[in-house]
Amino acid sequence: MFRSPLALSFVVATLATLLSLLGGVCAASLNFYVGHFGQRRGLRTRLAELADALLSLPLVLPPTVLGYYLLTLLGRHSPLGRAFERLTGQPLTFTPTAAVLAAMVSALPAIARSTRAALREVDPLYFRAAASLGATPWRAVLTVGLPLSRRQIAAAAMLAFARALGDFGVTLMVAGNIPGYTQTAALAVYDAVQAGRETDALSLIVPLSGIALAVLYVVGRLQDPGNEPR
Amino acid sequence: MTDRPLDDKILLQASLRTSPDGVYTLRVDLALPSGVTVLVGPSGSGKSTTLDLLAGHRLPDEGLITLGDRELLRRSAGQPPQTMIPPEQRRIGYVMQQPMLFPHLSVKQNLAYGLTALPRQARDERVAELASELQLSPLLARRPGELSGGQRQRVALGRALAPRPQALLLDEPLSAVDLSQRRELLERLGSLLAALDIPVLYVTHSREEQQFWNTATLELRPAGHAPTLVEVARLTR
Repeated sequence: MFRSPLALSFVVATLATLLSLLGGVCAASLNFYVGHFGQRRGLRTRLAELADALLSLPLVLPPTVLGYYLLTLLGRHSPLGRAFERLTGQPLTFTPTAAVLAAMVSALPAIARSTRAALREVDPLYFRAAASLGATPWRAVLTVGLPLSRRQIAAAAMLAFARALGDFGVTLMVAGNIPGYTQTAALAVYDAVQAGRETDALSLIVPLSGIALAVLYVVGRLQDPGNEPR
Repeated sequence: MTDRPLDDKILLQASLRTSPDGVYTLRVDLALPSGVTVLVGPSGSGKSTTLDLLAGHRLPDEGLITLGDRELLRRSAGQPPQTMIPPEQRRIGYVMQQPMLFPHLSVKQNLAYGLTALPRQARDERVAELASELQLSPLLARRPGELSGGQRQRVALGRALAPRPQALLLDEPLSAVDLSQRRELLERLGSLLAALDIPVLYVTHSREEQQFWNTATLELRPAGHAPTLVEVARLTR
């Protein structure tokens, strides 16, 4: 499908980032909603704390352990894996789709955590103002909380993209290292270095490093409060 | 301000007790007819807390709040509330010390924030009406960051009035406004609030503003010399 590992990496990281953005922002909003308005609604904040810990697990576990969990969850003998195979006619693991899921494992929690932190930084008086104007807590989160957090969310998404681009361990475990099919740039670098193909390795290392540097530069600008148009 | 007849229907009533930290106890006992009532008291005496309780941003330990014939809160001591209408359903406008305009929205969008229930045309009409009353029409496309303190507070007032609240709370609405703009804004507020037929509770610590309103004044003051500070607010007209 993708001849060049760099192109595959790009597509995989982009899809993983977009999906993580959707999932991460939803999870963070839900978590914030329960934490901020939960007492009033009698919701269980303990549950939110547990969900939070579960979501942060991928940030501390070794990639091999995460890969194992993902394989168990999505493999050909798992209910999810079987359902996917029945629907699409092909297995889920060791495909580019699995590479996207692998890249999401670290991207989604990172985006969710940053989004939640940004929502918590929003002055609670904005939520009071919205409530006194008739806005339900959900509407206040959607129309005030998230827009006021957009810079932090954008920065988190860019960092997540850079990390997704460089994922090695989880991708290797669940998507494999099949050249021309699931071999992403990070995996191709490993192969090239092992085989002593220095030029091949550098042709991937230079663009990967350049992209990472560019992303970090933009993230720094996004996070600089001096640029805040508030 | 003209004197209102004494048989004014009482619209906003509250009898509350709250002890947020267990040491300080705030008792609020008020009955507000339509028109402006000024609430004064030294800083830290519980003026803002009183407004937060009425608006529904704080839950008292016990008490009752009614607005017109609606019961907004009913709670007995040591019990969960039997009635607790959340702030978004109370229909009480609240202008805070800081205008807290939504910085990512234009003046027009800020004014329309509380009007989502209206169809688009009615919403636009209401925004235009408020903008002309508050002389904000030339500023509708601007962001709050591009406004002066007085302009921001006018937008905050218009935003609170837009959904036609049944009561209005103003917490030192001129505190974020330059001294030079205060008098003008106060006079504009005067004519605007006089035209409203709802209870308005106006919190201030300024003698000048208090005199300007020349109306019923509630005072938050320490009651007795008990070690716990008890504050009482009672309407005396």
